[in-house]
Formats: sequence, structure tokens, C-alpha cells
Amino acid sequence: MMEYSKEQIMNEIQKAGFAAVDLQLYLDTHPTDKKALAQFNQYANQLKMLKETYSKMYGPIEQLAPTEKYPYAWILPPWPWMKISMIEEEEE
Amino acid sequence: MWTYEKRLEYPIKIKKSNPEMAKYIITQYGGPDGELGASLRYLTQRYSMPTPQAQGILNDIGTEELAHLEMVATMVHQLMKGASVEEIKKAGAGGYFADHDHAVFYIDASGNPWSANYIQAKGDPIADLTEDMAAEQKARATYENLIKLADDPDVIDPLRFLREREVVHFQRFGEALEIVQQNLTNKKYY
Amino acid sequence: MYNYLDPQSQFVPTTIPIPQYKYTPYATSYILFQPNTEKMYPLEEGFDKGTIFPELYIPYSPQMNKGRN
Repeated sequence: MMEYSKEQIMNEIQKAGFAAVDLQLYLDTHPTDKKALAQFNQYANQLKMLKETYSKMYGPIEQLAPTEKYPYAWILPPWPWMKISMIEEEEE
Repeated sequence: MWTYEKRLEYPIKIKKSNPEMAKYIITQYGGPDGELGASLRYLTQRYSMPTPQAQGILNDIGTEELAHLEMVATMVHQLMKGASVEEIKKAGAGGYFADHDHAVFYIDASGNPWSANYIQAKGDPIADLTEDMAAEQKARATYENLIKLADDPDVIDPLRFLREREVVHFQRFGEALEIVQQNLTNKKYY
Repeated sequence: MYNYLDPQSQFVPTTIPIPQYKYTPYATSYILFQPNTEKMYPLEEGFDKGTIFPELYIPYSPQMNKGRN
């Protein structure tokens, strides 16, 4: 995988995650659609891989996934609702 | 059960504060057609819903609505952040500031608190799914109103996303209604 | 079929027509349709538009409700 910035990987996670959500809802009412299921799995696998990459580099993204970062990095900003200033990744 | 993923469903990066816009957008947080009502309505209707497809869709759309609730709160938070008390007063949000400072609270655009009166779980699957379709249309219409009120592209972009999700949810609920009705007509009875 | 004279029979709302629906901005009628999973937006576009299925994407334009107020 080429060198992605933190923001780029997060963007890829949001895109793959969104495709998975949209297809997942579709499968709820179309459980026998084989093509949709294959497409869902493609994005779900991509999402899994992206989350693993992101969390290894930048800290946990899933509440219950194992994490090796110490001290416990789950609690560290930025939290998703925070306004990121242009200069540093800290809320003003 | 729910776990949390530390990200937004769709990116929100609002650079310019705007307490007036926050005052309008908050209606999709605690208002009659907002995301709190949507998530609580669907998640509580699922217990009495027949057929796996309908149970699945209520469970999963209810869950996605929590992610939308978070997005709306994020927009309000970012629009209020950095605004001076003068700017907040000028925007007509002084009353909100008095009660909540920079907190995000469950009210509509006029300051009315969220109410369980906004939702229903009738236990009748036809009634419940029909209400859900209506709810999605009302939410879609509200997002269109908010888009009309906004002029900042950083604000319009996530509103556009949320609006389109309502259209998709409407489609899914309609399919669930159709499936439930087919199942009821196919039921054997003597 | 429900027969109120027969306590064994079960109410089924067979008189409610199955909805044929599609979202339209003017929502006066509903048309049933199925997304075609062969046709999906390129992921980037679908992400920006809020759905992977092109048929479900209804672009918003201020003209939508023109003349209705």
C-alpha cells in the first residue's frame, strides 16, 4: 500500500464503511441477492484491512479491537466531533 | 448490543462558526423529525416487528440514525465553537447559551425539548412501518429546508448526505412494509 | 379471510393495497422499483451523493418545490 496520510486513510475508511452500510441495509430487504452480498463482502473486507492499518499507525478506531499502543490511546483526541484547526490536530 | 467506531459516518469539517445556523440545525438533533426521534422510534419498534427482513431493517436503520445523530451534534458543536457571546446573542441563540453554554442539547429550533410524543410504537407492523416511511419524508423535507437556510459549503455538504440517506431509508422501509404485508396475506389461518 | 362471526379466524389487512412507491419530489404517486446491483456508483461518487445505488439518488435543487408556495 502506498503512503497514505492519516486523513487519507480515514477518508478511505469512511468511503468503504459507507458502501458497506448502504449494501448492508439493502441486504436486509434482499437477503437472496447474491451479487449484493458479494459486493458487500468486498467492501467489508476492504474496510477491515483499512481499519487494521489505521489503528496500527494512529491508535484504536474500534472500541473492542485489541490494541498495543501504550498508554491506552483510545481516549486521546481528536474525537470525531472535534473541530481541527489548520495548524495542529488539537481543538482550539 | 452496540460498540463504537471512533469516526463519523461522513466527514464534517466546518471552518467558520455560525451560531444562527446552529440554532436551525439543532432541530435535527432534538426536534420532531430529527435523528433522536428516528433512532429511538426504530430501535423500539423492532421488538414487536414480525419477519426477519423488517426486524433487520429497523435494527440497522435505527443504528445508522445514531450515527446521524452524532453528525448533527458535530455540526452544532463546530458551528458554535469559536463564536463570541456577542455573536451568539446577535444570532438569537442567547437563550440557548443561558441554559447550555456550548453544550449540545435535545431541543428543536424553537427551544422545545425533545418528547416521546414525537414517536410511536404501535405494535401493529403496518402502522409502525407506515409511520417510519412518513418519518423519513419529514426528515428529508427538513434537511431540504436547512440546505435552503445554509450558504457555507462545509455545512451544505453533510446536510446533502443526510438528506439522501432519508431517501434511501424511505425506500428500505417501503420494501419492508411490502414484505410484511405479503407475509400476512400468506399466513395460514382456519 | 377475517370473519367476525368466527372467533377462530384471524384478521389480516388484505384490503390495504400493496404500496407501489418511489420517492419523487412531488410525491403524489408511488412507483415500485428495484435498485440494480450491477449498476453502482463509483465508490467516490456514491459516497458524495449518499447512496451507492444511482436510482436512489435524487439530486436536490431549489427548483423542486417551485410554484407550490
